[in-house]
Amino acid sequence: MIFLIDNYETTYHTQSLYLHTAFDKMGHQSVMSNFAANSVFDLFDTVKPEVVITSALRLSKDILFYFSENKDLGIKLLLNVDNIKEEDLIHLKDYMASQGVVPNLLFTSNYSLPDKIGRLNVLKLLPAADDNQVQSLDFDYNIDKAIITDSLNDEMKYSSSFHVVSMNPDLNGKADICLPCVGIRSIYDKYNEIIFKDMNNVSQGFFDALRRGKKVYYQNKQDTGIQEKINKIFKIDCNLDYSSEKKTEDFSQLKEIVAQKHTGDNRAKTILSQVKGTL
Amino acid sequence: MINLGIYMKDLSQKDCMAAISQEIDNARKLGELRDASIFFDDIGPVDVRVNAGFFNSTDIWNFTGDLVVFSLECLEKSLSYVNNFRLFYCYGVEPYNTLNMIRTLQKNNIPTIAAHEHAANQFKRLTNISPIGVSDNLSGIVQTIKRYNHE
Repeated sequence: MIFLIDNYETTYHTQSLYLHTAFDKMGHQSVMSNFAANSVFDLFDTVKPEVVITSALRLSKDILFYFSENKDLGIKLLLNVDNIKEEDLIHLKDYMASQGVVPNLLFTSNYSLPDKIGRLNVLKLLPAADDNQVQSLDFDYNIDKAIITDSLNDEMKYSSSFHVVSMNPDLNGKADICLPCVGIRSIYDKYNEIIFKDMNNVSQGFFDALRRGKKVYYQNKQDTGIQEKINKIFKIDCNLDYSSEKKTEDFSQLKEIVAQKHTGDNRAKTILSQVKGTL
Repeated sequence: MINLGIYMKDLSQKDCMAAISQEIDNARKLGELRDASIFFDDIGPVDVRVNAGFFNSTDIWNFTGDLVVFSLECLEKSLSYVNNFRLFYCYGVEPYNTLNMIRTLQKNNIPTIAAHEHAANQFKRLTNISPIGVSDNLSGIVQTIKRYNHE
C-alpha cells in the first residue's frame, strides 16, 4: 500500500512520524511531507498514494479540491481529529460532504467523542511511545525529579534536585528545560522520578516517559479520574499518584506493557486493520 | 596571591561593574590579588573607578591566572582559547540554557561560584552539585578562588 502522510506533529506528539516509520517497517511504501509547504497537486500526482493521512486542523482547500476532482483514483482519506470538538467535527464533515469529499476514517485520542459522526466511524487511538530516532546526549547527568508541566502557575517545592520541564513552547525561557516531545525522549532516563503535573489525559509524553524513564507518576491538585484511565489502559493494578503513600515503585510490568502494546508500531497496525476494512 | 581575570560580554552592566570594583579593591587590601584584568567583547561606559586593566577579549590568549566568566557564551568562547588559565563560572548573573550549562560545566570540569545565596540553591537544584562557594553580590570571589586552588 502507498501511504502519503502529512507531517502534523506538534511539540506534544509525533504521531505522523511514528506511523510513517511503522508503515515503512511493515513493507508498505510511506512518504512523509508537509502539505502546507508543498503543492498538494504535485505531491499527490507524484506519489500516487492509496491512503492519505493528515490532521483535520491542517486540511486545505487544495486537498479537498484534489479529492473531489479525483474520485476515480479511490484514494482513502484518514483524518486525525484530535483537539476538535464534536460540534466542530460535524460542521467539518458537512462542509467536506458539500465539497464531495468523505473521509474513510476519523481517528482521535479523545475518548469522549462518539464512535460515529453521522455514518463516519471514529476510531479511538491512544497516543503511543515513539521508539524511533531517539538521540542520545553526549553527556550524562542524574537529577532526582523531572516535573513535566504545561503551566507555571504553582510554586514547585521538592526537597531534592529537580528540573521543571515543559513541551509548551510558550514556556521557553521560563521552564528549566523546554523541548518538544521528540527531544524530551532523550532525557527521561536522566531522572529518578518523572512527575506529570495536573495530568488530565494519558499523553505521548507519558508513554515515552514510561518507556524510557525509571519511575513515572502524575501529581494532580484535583481528581481528574486519571488513575481510572490509567488502570483501564494498562489493565493492571498500579498506583501512579505521586502523592499517594502506596504509589507503585516497581515499573517493570508497566514498561513491559508499553513496549508490547503501546508503541507507534501498535498504533500503525490498528490503523492498518481499519484501512483494510474500508478498502 | 592570584592573577584575576574577569570576562564580560559588555562593560555597560553598571551594578556588576560596581561589585567587581569593590571586590578588586577589597582583595588588594587583603593582599590576595597580584593583578586584575577585565576582558570584554563590547565596550561601553564605565562609571565607577576600577583598579584593573581593561582589554578586548581577543587578548585573553595572553592571560595567565584565574578567569571568571558570568555567561555560558563567554565560557564557551574562553574554552576555545588554549592558554594557562583556570576557568570559573559565576552562576546567577546571566541567563542560561539548563542543558547547555550542565553539559559545558561537566564536560570541561568547570568549578562554579554562585553569585548569591538564592543562586547557590538554584544551582544545586539544577545540577545536583554544590557550587565551590557562594559570594554575596560577587564579594568574596577572590577568596573562594584562592581557597579552591589550594585544595
